[in-house]
Amino acid sequence: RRLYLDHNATTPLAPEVARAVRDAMRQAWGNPSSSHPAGRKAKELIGSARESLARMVGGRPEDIVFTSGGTEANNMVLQTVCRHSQQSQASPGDGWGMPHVVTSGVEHDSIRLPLEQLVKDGLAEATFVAVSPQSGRAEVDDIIAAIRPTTCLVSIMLANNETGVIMPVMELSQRVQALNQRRVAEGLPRILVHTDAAQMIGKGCVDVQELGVDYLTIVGHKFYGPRIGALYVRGPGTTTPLHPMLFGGGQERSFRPGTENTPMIAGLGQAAELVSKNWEAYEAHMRGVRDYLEARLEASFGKQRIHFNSHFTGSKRLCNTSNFSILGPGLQGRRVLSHCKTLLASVGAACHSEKGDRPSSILLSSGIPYNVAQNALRLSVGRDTTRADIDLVVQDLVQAVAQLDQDQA
Amino acid sequence: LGYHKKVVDHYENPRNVGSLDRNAKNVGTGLVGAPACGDVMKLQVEVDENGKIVDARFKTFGCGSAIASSSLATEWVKGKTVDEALKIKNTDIAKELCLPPVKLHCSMLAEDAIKAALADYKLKQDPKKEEPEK
Repeated sequence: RRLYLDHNATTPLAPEVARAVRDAMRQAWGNPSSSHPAGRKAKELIGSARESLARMVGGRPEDIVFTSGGTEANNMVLQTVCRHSQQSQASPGDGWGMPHVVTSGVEHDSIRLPLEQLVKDGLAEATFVAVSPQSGRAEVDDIIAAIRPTTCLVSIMLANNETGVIMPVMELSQRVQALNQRRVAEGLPRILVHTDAAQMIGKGCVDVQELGVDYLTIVGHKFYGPRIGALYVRGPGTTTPLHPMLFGGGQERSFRPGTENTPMIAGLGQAAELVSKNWEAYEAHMRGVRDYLEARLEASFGKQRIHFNSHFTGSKRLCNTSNFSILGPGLQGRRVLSHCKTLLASVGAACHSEKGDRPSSILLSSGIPYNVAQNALRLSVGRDTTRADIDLVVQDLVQAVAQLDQDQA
Repeated sequence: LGYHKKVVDHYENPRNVGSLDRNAKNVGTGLVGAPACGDVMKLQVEVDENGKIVDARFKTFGCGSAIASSSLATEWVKGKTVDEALKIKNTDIAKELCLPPVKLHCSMLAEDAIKAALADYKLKQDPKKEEPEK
C-alpha cells in the first residue's frame, strides 16, 4: 500500500470537485457565449465559479480571470507590467529606462524564467533578492532596498514550495503602499505587488484585503481542484493594469480569450467553496499530522541524525510541509526514496525531479549546507493523511535507511 | 509475531469500560478521533473536591492497540490529580504496552483523550474562562 505525501506537488480532486466536473461535462457543454439555453447553462456555472473564487480570496467576482493555470497567471503579470510601463512612458527615449522588477531568489520557475527571458530580450531589468539564511525568508528590508525609481513590480511568493517558509507579503505591501504615496508625488511609477499564492491556498489564510496585493496567483491542483487556475487582479483594467497575452474571441472580458473550459472552471469553483468553508480545519489537521511526523522522525532517528531544513527561527511555515535531511553518507534524498516501499514523496519541486543528485538551489540559497541539502526529503501531508499513515511512513524510512546503511558498511 | 501479551490482556480483560454521567459537574468527557480514520476514543474522568481523579471510564472504537491504550489511560489517571494526569505522555503508554512502531499513533490518541477529558472538566468548573474557538 502506497502512502502519498507529496501534496505540494499536486493533490487529487476532492470527490465534490470531481462530481462538479463530471456534471458540467454532461450537462453544461454548450458554448458559454451562445445565447441559447445550452450556452446560458454553461455561462451560469462559470459566473457561479467566479463568485466562489472571489469569495475564497476576499475579492470581487470582477477581479477574477480564469487561466490555464499558475504558470499562465504568473506570465500574465510579468508581461502586463512590461507592456504597461512601455505604454505609460511619455515617449520612447524618455530617459525612463526599462521597467524594473524585484523578486526573490526562491520563486517558482514560472516567475523566474519569464523574468529572465524578459531581461534577455532587453524588455526589463530584474533583481532577485536572496533569502536570509537565518529566517529562510525574503526580508522586507532587503526587498525595499532593491527598489529603484524604475521599479514597477514586486513579486514574492506567499509560501515556498520546498521549505514551506511563508514570506512577509502583508508587511511588504504595507511598506510599498507607503512608498507609492511618495513616488506618485514625485512622478515615479506606482509599484505593483504580486504574490504567487499557489502553495498557501487551502493551507492558511489568504485574503487579498489583508495581504494588500494587486495581483494574486491561484493554482487549482494544489487545493484539490482541477489543473486550471486564475489570476486575482484588483480592478483589472481600471485600478490595476492587465494586458492579455492572447487575442481572440473576447472571453474573460478579453483579458484571456478562448472558449471557456466549463467543466474545469466548475471544478475550480467547487474546490474554492471547500476551501472557504474548511480551510481552518484543514490547516489545523495538517499541522497536527505534520508536527506528529516531525516528532516521530526525531524519535526514530535521533536528534543528531535528523536536520530539519524548514525550521527557521522566527519564520512561519506551511502547515503541511516538512523538509528534512537524514544525515550520513549514501543517504541522498532520491536514494532514500527509491528504497522506500510505502512512501511517495519528493526531494523538492516536482518539476525538477530529473535533476540527478544535485541539491536544490532553493535549499542552498536558504543557507543549508551542501551535503545536508543533498540528503533533503520533502514530505507534504494532505487533508486525508492520518497519524496512522505517519507511523507507517516513518517505519518505511527507518527500513530504507537501515538498508542503505548496511549497503554502505 | 502477534500482538504483545499486554495488549491482548487489555483487549480480553479491559479495565474501566463504560460511561460516567457526562452532565455531572465533576465529570470531564473527552471524545477524540474520527470514524473515518478508524479510531474513536471516549474517555471520562470523575474528579473529587480535592482535584483528585477518583474514577475513569472509556469506550473505544478501534484496533486492539487503541483499546489497550485507552484502557491503560483510565488505569493511570485514577488516583492522580488533574495536573498530574496531564503529564501522562503517549510515549509512556507506548512503552508500557510495547506498541510496535505502526501503532504508536494509538498511544497519541489516548494522550489526546486524557487531555480532552481534563480540559472539559476544567471548563465545567469555570465556564467564564471559555477558551476562544480556534
